[in-house]
Amino acid sequence: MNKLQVLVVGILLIITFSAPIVIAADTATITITVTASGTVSISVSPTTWAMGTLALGSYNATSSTYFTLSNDGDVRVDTQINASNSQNWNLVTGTPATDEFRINTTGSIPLSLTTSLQNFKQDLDPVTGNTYQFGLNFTMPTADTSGGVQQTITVTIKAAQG
Amino acid sequence: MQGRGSKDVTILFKIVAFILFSFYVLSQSVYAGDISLTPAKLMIDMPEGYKKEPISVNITVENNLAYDIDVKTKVSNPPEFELTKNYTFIPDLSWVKTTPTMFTIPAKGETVFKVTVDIPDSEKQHCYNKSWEVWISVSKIKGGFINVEPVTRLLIHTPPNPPSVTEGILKSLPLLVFLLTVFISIIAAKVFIERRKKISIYEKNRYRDFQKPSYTMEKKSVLYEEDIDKKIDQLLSRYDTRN
Repeated sequence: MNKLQVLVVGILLIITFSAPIVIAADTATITITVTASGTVSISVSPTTWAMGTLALGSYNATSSTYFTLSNDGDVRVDTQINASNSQNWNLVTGTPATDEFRINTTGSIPLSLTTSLQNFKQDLDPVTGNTYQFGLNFTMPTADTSGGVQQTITVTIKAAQG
Repeated sequence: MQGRGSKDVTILFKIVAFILFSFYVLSQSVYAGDISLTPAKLMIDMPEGYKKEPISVNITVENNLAYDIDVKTKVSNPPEFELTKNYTFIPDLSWVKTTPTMFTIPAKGETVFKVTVDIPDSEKQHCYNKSWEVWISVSKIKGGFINVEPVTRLLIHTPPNPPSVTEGILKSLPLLVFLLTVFISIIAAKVFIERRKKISIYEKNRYRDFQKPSYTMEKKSVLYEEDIDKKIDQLLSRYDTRN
């Protein structure tokens, strides 16, 4: 055999014996199964709360049935709740000090909100009781170093299939 | 007269009751959450192994409000207490992406966005027989004091086992057979050509041999005569010795 023939045979041998390893590592003809189910749909009403002007160190609370959380989808859902810090104030779970505030939920699930998600209403069923009513209690900081700047706070409720 | 009057009241009552009932039914069917996500749960299984290309699935988000809304998508780990049993967090959230991440949904309309799962090749070897849960949520960009975020639970099952060499060989059998056939054909062709060359040389030599006297044969016969002479000499000497 001349040099070229030896080279061709060599390359063929390498391809022949390396092919199984390459194909085993990454196959293009494999099947992927995707299973999808249900629709998740959640609403809260009202979405606003007019607190008015609050004095430092004071608090304001809605009635314990002021907000209504509704499961409008077709699957049972678990909900989680959290709140955000504001521009200048931090959310705390204890008694607020300077530039700190607190938000509690009232009703059958009393929680002191944090920036992390906490379990809220579980097993909200679309058929056998798709609503849950709750209220909020907001406690102001004892002192404010921002100079009376308006603060924006958001409460988020996540809903995932339970 | 009185009987007719009571009949009218009954009809009027029935009409009012029908209108109220219709309104109730309509209000029940029309009322829905601000944003709906379909599906609520999405399971991706890879029982036969990893695909070379990323896996893409669609999620539909519906705007149930009477006005357009701007929304954003978010990929996150679920809170630990909400993890589905036997599932863990994905090692790297960047392996799951949504496109687009921000879009507008028309009033009473819907939009589809894509979720892509792309596990880097370098990480695949460490990611067999895993069950991961990732949350895909959608929220309004400009929300109120209280916002709701519907979530799609994305459940990912990685391939159960790394592919064995036997499995790889079996899967690549057609290619193997093809390559081996090519290889054997080349060898066979080579052998055939070499043999043909050898035969033609042999034939040529044979022809040449027929054309000239065989020196070997002659030499053999000379040798044979010498042997006979030797034998005669031996016999003669033995005869002389006896006499």
